[in-house]
Amino acid sequence: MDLKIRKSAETYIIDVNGEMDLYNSYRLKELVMKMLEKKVEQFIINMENVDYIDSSGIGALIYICSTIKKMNLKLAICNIHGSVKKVIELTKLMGYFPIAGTVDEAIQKIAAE
Amino acid sequence: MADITQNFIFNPLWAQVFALLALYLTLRNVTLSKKLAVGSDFQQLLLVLFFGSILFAGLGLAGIAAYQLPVTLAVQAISAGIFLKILGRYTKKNYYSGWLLALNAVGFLVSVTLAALQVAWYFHFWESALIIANWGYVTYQFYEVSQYNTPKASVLLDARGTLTKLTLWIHGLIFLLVPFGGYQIPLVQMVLLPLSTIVYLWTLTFWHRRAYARMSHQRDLMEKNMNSQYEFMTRIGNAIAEKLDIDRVLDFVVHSAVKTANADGGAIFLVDEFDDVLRVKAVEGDFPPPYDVPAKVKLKANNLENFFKSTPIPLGETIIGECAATGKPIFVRDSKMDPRMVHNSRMDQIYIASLILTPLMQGKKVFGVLAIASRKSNHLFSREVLSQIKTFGDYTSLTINSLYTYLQLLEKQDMERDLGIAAEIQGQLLPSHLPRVSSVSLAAFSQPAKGVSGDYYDIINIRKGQILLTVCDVAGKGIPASLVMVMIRTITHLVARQPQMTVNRILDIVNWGIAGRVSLDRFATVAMLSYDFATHQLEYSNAAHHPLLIYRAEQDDFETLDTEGIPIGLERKTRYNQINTVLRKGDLIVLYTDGIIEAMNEKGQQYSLESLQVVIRDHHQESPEKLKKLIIADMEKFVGKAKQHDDETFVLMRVEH
Repeated sequence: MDLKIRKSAETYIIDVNGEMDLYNSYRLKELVMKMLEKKVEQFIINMENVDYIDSSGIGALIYICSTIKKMNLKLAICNIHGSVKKVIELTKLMGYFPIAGTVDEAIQKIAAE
Repeated sequence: MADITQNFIFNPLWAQVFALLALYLTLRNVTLSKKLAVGSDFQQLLLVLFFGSILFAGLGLAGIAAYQLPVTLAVQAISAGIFLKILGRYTKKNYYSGWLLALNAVGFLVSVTLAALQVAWYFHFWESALIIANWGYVTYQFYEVSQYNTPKASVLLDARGTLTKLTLWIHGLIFLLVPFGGYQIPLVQMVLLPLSTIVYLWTLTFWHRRAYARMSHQRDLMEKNMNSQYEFMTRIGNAIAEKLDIDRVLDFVVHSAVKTANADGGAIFLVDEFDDVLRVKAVEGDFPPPYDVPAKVKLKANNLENFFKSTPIPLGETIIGECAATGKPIFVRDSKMDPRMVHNSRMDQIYIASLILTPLMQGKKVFGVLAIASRKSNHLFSREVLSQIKTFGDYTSLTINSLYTYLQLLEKQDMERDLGIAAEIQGQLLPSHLPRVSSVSLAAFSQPAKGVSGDYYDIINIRKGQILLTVCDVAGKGIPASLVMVMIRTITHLVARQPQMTVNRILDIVNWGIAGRVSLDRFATVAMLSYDFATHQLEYSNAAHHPLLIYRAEQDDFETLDTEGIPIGLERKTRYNQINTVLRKGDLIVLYTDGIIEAMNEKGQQYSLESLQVVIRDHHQESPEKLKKLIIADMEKFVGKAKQHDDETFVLMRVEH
C-alpha cells in the first residue's frame, strides 16, 4: 500500500494505492493521526486504487472516521468500488461512513457540511 | 671601439640569457619540472636568446648597430612563440596564430627596411609596438585560460594577472621611453629588460610551486577527506547500532558536516510527510535562515531562532526550497555574488558568507536538505568541501533508507511474534470438542491464514435441549484481536445460559461490553443462533456478518436469513434484531466467514457462495463431518496453489430428527 497526499484548498486528499490489509492498514491510521496533530481539519480518503480490503482495513477506516467525527472535523471517503464496496455493504457500514462518489463530489460534500 | 664594447656589454639580451639560465638550473632541481616538461622549452628559449645575443653583439662589433633591433624583435617574437608553446602544454590547446606570425614576419621586414633607411625614431616606435603586440598576445592568451580544462591550467589562472600586468607595464614603459632613445638608453637595457625576464622567471617558478603545492594539498585533503568520511561512516553506523533513532542520526550528520567543513553552523530540513513544505529538523552551531526574515524578528537572537524553527519553507521557495525541488546541490561560494542571497549578504544577524546545500534522497524523491553555512567573510567554502558535503548527503540518504527498511522489518517481526502469542491464546478459545447430541449433528472447520486467525466460532450447550452456535470475524489479528475474541467468548458464555436470554440480547450485551473498551478498529462481525431441539425453533441474530445459509431438504433449495445491525464494538447503544424460523429433519445450516466464499484461485476468481451451495446440495445426505471434508476438498481443488490471505471458518449443523 502506498499513500500519497495532495491538497485542494483547505482539504487534504489521501490517495490510497494498493491493498489495505492487516500488514499496512495501520499506516493510513498513523498518517491521519499525524495530520490531526498538525491541525488538518478536512480529509478525503480516495479509494480509487484500492481493489482489496480486509477487516483490518475496514477497522482502520472505522477508527479514522470515528476519531474525526468525535473532533467535529470533516471527512469523506470516495471512489469505493468492487470488492471494497461489497465488504463495506456486507458489514452494513455504508451508512456509517461518509461516502461520496468521486473526489469532486467529496469536495462538494465537505464544503456543504 | 668604445661603442662596440658598450653594445656588447649593455646588450639587454645577456640579462635574459643569465636570468633564464638561472631559472633553468633552478627548475632542474624541482621534482615537478620533468613532469611538467618545460625543461626543453627553456633550452630552446636559452638557445634563441644566446644566438640572438651573439648576433646582436656581432652586429654591434661590425658597426651596423641599426640592425641590432630587428634581431631583438626576432628574438622577442620567437620567445613569445615558445611561451605560447608552454601555455599549450599546460592547457592542451593550440595558441599559435597565423596572424601573429604574419605580423612578425612583416614587422621584421619593415624594421630591416627602416634600419637600412636609417630613420631612427619611427624605427624604435615600430620595434616597441611589435614587441608589445607579441607579449600582449601572449598575455591575452594567458587571460583567455578561463576554464580549468586541465588540472595544470589552474596554475596559469592564478599566474595570469601578474603576467599580464607586469609584462604590459614594463613594455609600456619601454614604449614611453622610445622618444628618449628606447632600447639604446642604459635604464632600459640594465633594468627594464632584465626585469621583464624576471617576470617570466618569477611567474614560471610560481606555477611550479603552485602546481606542486596544489597537488600535495589535494593529496592531504583527500587523506583528510577519507579520514573524516571514514569516521563519519563508522560513527553513523554506531549511532544506528546504539539506538534506532532517526533524529539522532540527523543530529549526528549535521554535527559532522559542520565539523568537517569547518563551518559556523548547519541544519537539516525535512520534507513534511503530507504537505509540500520543508521543516527545520536539526540545527548545529550558528545557522541563520538563508532567506529574508521580518526586521522585527532580527532584533533578538531568541526570536530569530524560534522564527526559523517554526516557519515551514514551501517547496521551490527560497534557496532551500529550490534545492529540495530540483534535487540538486547548491553551492553559494560568496553570498555577495549570488542574487538569491541578497538578504543574507549584509553584515547583520542573518549574514551568511558562504552556503552549501545538498539534497537527501530516497530513490528519486527528495526527503530533506542538508545545509552548512560560513558566517565569516574571510572563510568561503571550496569545491572540495562541496564534494565532501555531497558525499555526506548521499551517505546519509543511504543510511536513513536502510534504517527505514530495518525499522519496517522490525515492526513486521514484532507483529509476527505477537501473532505467535495470539495463536496460542486462540488455540485455547475454540471448543476442543463438539457437543454430542442426538437431535443434530455438527461439524466445524477453522483454518487461519498465516498462522493466526481473526475468526472465532463456538458451539455451546446453553440449557438442556438448546444449543447456541456463533461465528465471528474480528478485524485485525494478533493479541488485540485475540483479546476481543476472549471478551466475546466470555460475555457470551456468561449470559447465554441466563433464563429468557435471546440471541439478539446476547449480541446487545456483547456489544455493550466491548464498544468503547477496545480500539474501534478491532470491531467484529458476529452471527449467532440458538436452536431448540424440542420445538425445532431457530433464532438468529446478525451483527454485520454473512447471512445465515439454510439448506431446506424438503424443497432441495437454499434460504438465507439476515437481520440489520452494524458490527460489534462500534457504538454502544446499538440494538440488534432477531429472526426466527423452524427447521425440519434433514435441513442443514451453514455459518461461514468471508474467507470461505472469497477464497481465491490463481486467476483471481473467488470460490463463491454458489460453489459452496453446489457441494452442499450434492452431498446433503452425508454426515456433516463428511460434508465438511468434501467442502474442504472442493475448495482446495478450486484455489490450487494460490496462497490464501484470509482465515477460513465454517460451522455445519444438520437436523437429524
